[in-house]
Amino acid sequence: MWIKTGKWTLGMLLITLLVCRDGWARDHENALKVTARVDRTTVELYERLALEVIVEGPARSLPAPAGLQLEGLKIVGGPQSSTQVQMANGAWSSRLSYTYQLRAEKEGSWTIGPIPITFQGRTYQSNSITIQVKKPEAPPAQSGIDSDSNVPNDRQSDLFVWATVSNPEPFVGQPIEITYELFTRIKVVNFEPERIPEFSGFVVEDVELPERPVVTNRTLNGKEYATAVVHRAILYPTTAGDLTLEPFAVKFAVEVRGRDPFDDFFQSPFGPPGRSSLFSQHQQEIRQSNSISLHVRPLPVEGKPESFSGAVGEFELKASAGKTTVQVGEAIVVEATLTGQHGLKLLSIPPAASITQFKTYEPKAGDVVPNPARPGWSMRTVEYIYVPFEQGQFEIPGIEFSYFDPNSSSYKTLRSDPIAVFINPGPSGEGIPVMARDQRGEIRLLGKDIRYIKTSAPIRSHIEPYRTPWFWGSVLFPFPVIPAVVVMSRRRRKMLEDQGYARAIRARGESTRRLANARSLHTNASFRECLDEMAAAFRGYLSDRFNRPPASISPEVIRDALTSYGVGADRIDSVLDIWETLASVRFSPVNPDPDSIARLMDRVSECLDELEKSRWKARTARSCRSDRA
Amino acid sequence: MRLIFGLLLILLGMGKVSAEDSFQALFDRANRHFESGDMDSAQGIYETMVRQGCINLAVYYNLGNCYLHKGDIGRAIAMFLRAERISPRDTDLQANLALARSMIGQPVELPKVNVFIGWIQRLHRSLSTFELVVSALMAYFLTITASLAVTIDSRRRSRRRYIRIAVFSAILFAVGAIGLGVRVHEREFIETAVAIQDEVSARTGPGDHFTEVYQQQAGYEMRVLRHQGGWAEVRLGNGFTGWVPDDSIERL
Repeated sequence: MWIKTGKWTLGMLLITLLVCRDGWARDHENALKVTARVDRTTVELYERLALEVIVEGPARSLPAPAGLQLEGLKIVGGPQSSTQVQMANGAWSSRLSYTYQLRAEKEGSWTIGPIPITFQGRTYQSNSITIQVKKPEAPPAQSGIDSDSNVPNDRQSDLFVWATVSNPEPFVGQPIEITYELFTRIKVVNFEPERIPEFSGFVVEDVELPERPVVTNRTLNGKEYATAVVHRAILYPTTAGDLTLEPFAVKFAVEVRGRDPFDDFFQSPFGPPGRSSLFSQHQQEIRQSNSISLHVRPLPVEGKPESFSGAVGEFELKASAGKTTVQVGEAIVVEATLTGQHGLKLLSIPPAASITQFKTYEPKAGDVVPNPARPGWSMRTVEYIYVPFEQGQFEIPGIEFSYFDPNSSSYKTLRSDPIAVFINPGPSGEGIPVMARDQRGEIRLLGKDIRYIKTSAPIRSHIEPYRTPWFWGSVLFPFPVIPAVVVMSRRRRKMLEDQGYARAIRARGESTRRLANARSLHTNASFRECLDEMAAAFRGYLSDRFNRPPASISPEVIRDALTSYGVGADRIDSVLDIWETLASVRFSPVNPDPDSIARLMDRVSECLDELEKSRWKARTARSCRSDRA
Repeated sequence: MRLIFGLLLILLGMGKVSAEDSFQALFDRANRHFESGDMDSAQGIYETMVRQGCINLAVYYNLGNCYLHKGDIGRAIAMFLRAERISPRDTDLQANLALARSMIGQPVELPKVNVFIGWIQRLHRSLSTFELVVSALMAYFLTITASLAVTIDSRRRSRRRYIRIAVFSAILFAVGAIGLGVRVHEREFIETAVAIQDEVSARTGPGDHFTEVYQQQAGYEMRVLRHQGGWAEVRLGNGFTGWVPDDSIERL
């Protein structure tokens, strides 16, 4: 019962999980992305700036941002909108852009956003941006106008380009912002860069400006000007010393004032070309900005860390691993996030830590994106891949990143925490996987890596086993052994079955043993015992051969038996002579002569040898069988 | 006579030991070159060892690795197949052989075989010649011993048991002997080779003027049917037959 209930509950739980997962996936797919950005974060009082709100999402139509709450800033233009809609794989996706013209109304630090947008019952929010509004700086001098410019003199002061840098004494590698601003009192229909400086001695990172320039009104030397940024870039000095930034030349199409009485009425700088008076015409004007001298300071040699690779500014570093328990051959991805104000795009990526038990791959750095948690800062994510070769518990060292902090004029080193990982054994027989990044930068499995060479193997030349002598010896070994075993087994069986045969086979061996015993007794001067042993050997041999009890052996029996077996008369007489000699010597009251005993022993031995050699041996065996039958 | 025979044995043994010592020194040196990244020197030494008659799993395997690192897939596969003949179940070897095979431009599609036959073939391939020899010999001795026991032992119950053992071991011996026989036949009477050159035209006859049958890719494994005038008639695993230049293949 419990099992049934448990199964039902488990099933419902799984279904619920699937539904939730499906719902989450749909929500995730339908999520909107709302991004807010401005052309600059620091403006002077009453200066204009452009705010762009971008809404991206998987729908054909997207809602416009509403409820833009601003403090210290005022909307003076817009919104101008643009829409991009596309369909891919049966799914719509759109991108809406709304650009507002803002004007700074109060000094201080003001925050734009987060801007809310409601879509399909859900509210999404953009990032927030902080704008610094400061007092207007002193107006540029009239000397900023290029005297060599080939334009009428009376128009030079009405149209000029002014360059400013954020820091005239940066360190090598420290990013500085250069801004080229147009000042005009005449109507500019269009403009384009005529000559962009080479910026030799710098690495340049252009800053994207709004498509339509943001116009600000400023008063210089008592004259009212319309101003707009025409070019902005981040420069990274590469060498120390005094450097000069070349002028930036801009070609303008300006409207030449005619005698149209309505000119003043329609007069407006940066006006559209469509409203031209019948009496006005366009004229090309070229203006060059002022040159700027910089004093680039070298980085101090003392205290430079080994991991320093030229980053100058202010940075933060965090790292984490998605999965810390994996199998051998499975990739571990460590994601590090670098945050900083400038220079993230150009700085060298910290290298991956080298670990013996891991194969490491080139880190992949993502795009530089605004840091939502810290306005004005950007962030960049770097992926490190480690593929373990061995099982066990290991530690991936923290990622180290050093930079020079120009505010404190010192080097600083950031180090993320080490990450403990647990590697379980992987499936056997498979090679180590090889990962690589495809054209989109995604990691994919290329295949298996080449397994390493064998280094500890003893070098003995291999011979096919069937070519070796031991193989053929093993194969041929049974051929002589089998017949021998068969013969021996048959003999053994016969000896077990036929007692006469067994006695006949053992007769000579037994007599030889007894004669040897008699010889040792003779050596020890035990002559009587020697004679008894000799007689026992002789009698025992004959009784075994005749397959009779020892007590039944007599001269008559010997003669009859040997005669029936075809032994010659001389041999029979010799045997009987020994028989009688033994009997007489044994039972004689006189002590026997040792020499005669020795000679007798030799005679006995020779006699038994002769009998053994004679052919009656075989006949004895046959007759024994016939007797038994 | 005995003295001369003994001295001869000692001299032969010393000669073998001396050669093995020399091979070991060469092997260690080649490994050091490999570990330091000097693949050319390592390859040269391994090749010298092979030329001097060193037939060894580690030498073939390491030489195959050198070729594989340099992208010479054909020779790498040839070396791995030679190593496989010595130790067919070596996991490192199998991994690298599979990797090398996967790098062939257009692999040969092998025809499907019956499941049972495929299983038997895989089992046979997975056993080394030494294992086949040992198992066949063990079954051989067991059969003989059980047969002798039947002959010697007169007790009926024991004889029956020995007969069963003898029959069972005889079947095992027959299987082992067939497996060993097939292996000996493959090694001694069938010539196999691996293509070491890419984009070589296999033709209908031994000459460039014959019609092209198929394009040979480095790494193709094939059976050599015969040789004629610097050409070899080969058959691929999919049954394609053609004539290719002798120098475009490496015999195993």
